[in-house]
Amino acid sequence: MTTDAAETTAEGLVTPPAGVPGGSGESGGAAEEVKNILSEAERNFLSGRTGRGTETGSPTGAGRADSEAADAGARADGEDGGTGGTDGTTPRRGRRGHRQENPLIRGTLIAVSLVFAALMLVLPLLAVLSQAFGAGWDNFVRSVTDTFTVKALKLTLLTSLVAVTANTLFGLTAAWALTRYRFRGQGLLVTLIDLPFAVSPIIAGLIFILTYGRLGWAAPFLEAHDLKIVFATPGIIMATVFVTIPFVAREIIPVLAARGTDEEQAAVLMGAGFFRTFFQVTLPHIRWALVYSVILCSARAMGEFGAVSVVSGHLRGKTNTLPLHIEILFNEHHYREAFAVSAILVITSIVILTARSLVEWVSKKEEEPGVR
Amino acid sequence: MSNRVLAALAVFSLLLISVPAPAQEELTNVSYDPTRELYEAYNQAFQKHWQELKKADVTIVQSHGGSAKQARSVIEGNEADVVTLALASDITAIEEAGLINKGWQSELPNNSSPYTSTIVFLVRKGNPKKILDWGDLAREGVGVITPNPKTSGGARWNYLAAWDWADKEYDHDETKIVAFVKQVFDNVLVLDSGARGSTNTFVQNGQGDVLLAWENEAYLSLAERPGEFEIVTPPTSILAEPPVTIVDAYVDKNGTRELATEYLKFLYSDEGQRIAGAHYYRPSNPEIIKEFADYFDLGLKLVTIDDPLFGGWEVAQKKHFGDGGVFDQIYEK
Repeated sequence: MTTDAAETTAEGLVTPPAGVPGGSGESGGAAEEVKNILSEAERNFLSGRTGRGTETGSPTGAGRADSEAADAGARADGEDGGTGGTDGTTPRRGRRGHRQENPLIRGTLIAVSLVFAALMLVLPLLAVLSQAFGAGWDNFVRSVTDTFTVKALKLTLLTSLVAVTANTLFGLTAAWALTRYRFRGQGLLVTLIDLPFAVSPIIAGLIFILTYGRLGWAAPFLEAHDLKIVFATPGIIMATVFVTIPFVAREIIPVLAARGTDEEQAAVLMGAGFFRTFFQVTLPHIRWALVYSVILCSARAMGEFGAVSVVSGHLRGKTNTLPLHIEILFNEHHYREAFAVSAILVITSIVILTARSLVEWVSKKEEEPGVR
Repeated sequence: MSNRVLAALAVFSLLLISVPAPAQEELTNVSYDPTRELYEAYNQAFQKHWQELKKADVTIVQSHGGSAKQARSVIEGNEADVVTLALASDITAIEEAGLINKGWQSELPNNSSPYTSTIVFLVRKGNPKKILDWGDLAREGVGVITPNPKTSGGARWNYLAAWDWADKEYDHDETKIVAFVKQVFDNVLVLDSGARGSTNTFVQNGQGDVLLAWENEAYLSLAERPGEFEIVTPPTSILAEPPVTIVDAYVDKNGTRELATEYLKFLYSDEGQRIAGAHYYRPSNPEIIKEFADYFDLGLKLVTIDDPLFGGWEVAQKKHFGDGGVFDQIYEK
C-alpha cells in the first residue's frame, strides 16, 4: 500500500510537466531549465502549478494521454479547495489512493486530522473570542478604541502596507530575474529568498540592532544625518520586511517558471515594450498567484512579534505594534483588553483566510473554461 | 491590481503617515517591569503638575521590561530621557556607554532612589508548603519562581537577599553559601526574563509554590486576585533601591533637560511619594511612609547593597552576575 502511494506520488510529480511541451512548444524547455536551479521543494511546488498550466494548454493540440493527465490535474485541483492551492500533489495522491484505501485507515486519518485541528486551532481561537466578548460589547469597544490600541493598529497597518508593497516589488523583480535570465549567483538568490523562513525572528531583530543601533556599523552615518532606524518606525518596518521576504517571490517563481517565455517573446516580436509585455501578457497569468501571496504576506506582516519585539524598544504609543500591545496589556493584568485586541487580529486572520479561499475559488473558476 | 485600488492604497498610506500629533513636548521614560501601574498613575499627576507649572502639555512615553534588558536597549539607541530602573548597576552600564554623566547617583536625594522596596515571598493561600524563611526555599519539593538575575533587576535583589540570609546562617562560609544558593536555583521551575513575566507564571499559570517578588509586585498580585495568595515577609531581606536618573546624552539631543529634571524631582514631592506608597513602593520620605504603615513591615531587618558583605553594586555585580561570576557557576553546574 505504501509503495503504491509513493509511486502514485512520483507519477503525479512527473506527469503534469510532461504534458507541458505537448501543449506549448518551448515553454516546457524553459521550465526544465529553471527547475534545475530550483530546490526539491520548489519542484513539488512547480509540478502543482504546471498541472494547472496544462489545463488551458490542452485544447490547442495536446495528445490524448496529455489531456487525460490534464483532466486528472483538473479534478485534483477541483478537490483542492480547502487544503490550499500551493500544493497540488497532496490531493492528487488522496484521489487516486482512495480507491484501494482501507476505510479504517481513511477514517482514522481523517478523525486524527480533525481532532488535532479542533484541539490546537479551533478551541484556542474560540477561547480568545469568548474572552474578548465575554465582558460584553461595551468592554470590547472600549478596549479597541483605547488611544494606545488605535496607535498600535495604525502602526501595524502602516508597517504591513509598506512591507507588502516592498516585498511585492522585490518578489516580482526577483521572480522575473530568476525565471527569465541566467546569471551567476542565481542559486544563491533562491537560497537567500528562503533565508527569512529559516532564521529565527530574534536574529532578524538583532541584525538590525547590530547594523543600525547606536553601536552598529551604520551609526556614524545615521547620527550625522539625524536618522533613527531601530527603536523607531523604520526599524519595525525593516524587521517586518525581512521576515516576509519569501512570501511573494516563492509564490510567483513557480508560476512564471511553468508559464515559460514564449508568449512574452511573441509580444516582444510584435513590438511591445517591456512594461507593456509585463502588464498585458505576464501579469494576467500571475495575477491570482500574486493576489494570493499578497494576502498571505499581509497576514504574516500584521502578526509578526519576535523580530519587531527586538527592535521596538516597547515605547507605548510610538513603537508598539498590535502584537506587542497585546503582550503589554496581558502583562499589565488587563486580560479582557488583551483578549479584545487579540480578537482584532484573529478576526483579521479569518477575513484574510476567507479572502484567500475566495481567490483560490475565483482563479479556478477562471481556468475551468479552458478545460471543458 | 487596478489603478483605483492603487490610488486608494496610496491615499490611505498618506493618511497613516501624515497624522502626527501636534507639536508637543514629549518625554520618554524607560523603566523596569513592575513599575507599570506606578508610572501610569504618576504620569497623570505629573502632566497636571507640568500644566500648572508651565501651562504646557506633555506626552510621556513609557517602556517597560526586564531592567538589564531595558538598559541594553538604551545603550543600543533607545532614546530615553529618563531611566527609572531596578538597580544602580544597570544605570552604571548606561553611564559606562557614555550616555550618563558620572556621579549621577548623588544628584538626587537618597542615592537617587525616590522609593525603595524589598523582596518578599508570595505563596498560595494557606501557605501549604510552610515557606517562612529563606532556608525553606532550598527544601526538596519546593517549586521556586524567580526571574533571571542576568536580565532582571528584581532577580538580582532576590539572589542577594538569599545570599545575605545564608551568610548569617552559615557563618560567612562561602562554600556553604554558594551550595545553598545553588540549591535554591535548582528548585527554580521557570526562569523568566523580567519580574512581570515571573508574576504571570506564578499567578496566571499557577506554576510553583513560592514567587520571590518585589514587595510592590506581591501586593499588586494580592489586589488583582484577592483571596488566592498570601505574602510571607521573611525575617531578613534586602533594601532594594531602584534609582532614577536623566540620560544626559539624550536630553541634550532632544532638548528636554528641564522637563526631565522636573519629572524626577516631582517623584520626591509629597504627591509623588504618596503615589509611590499607594502602589506599594516604600516612600523614601520618612514621614510619608508612616501613612502606609498598615502594609509595610517597618521593623523588617534590611541589609543594603553597601553592606561590607556586598561592597556596593560595582563589586557585587562583577562578583555575582558578571560573565563567569558566581551565578554563572551556580547555574551551569
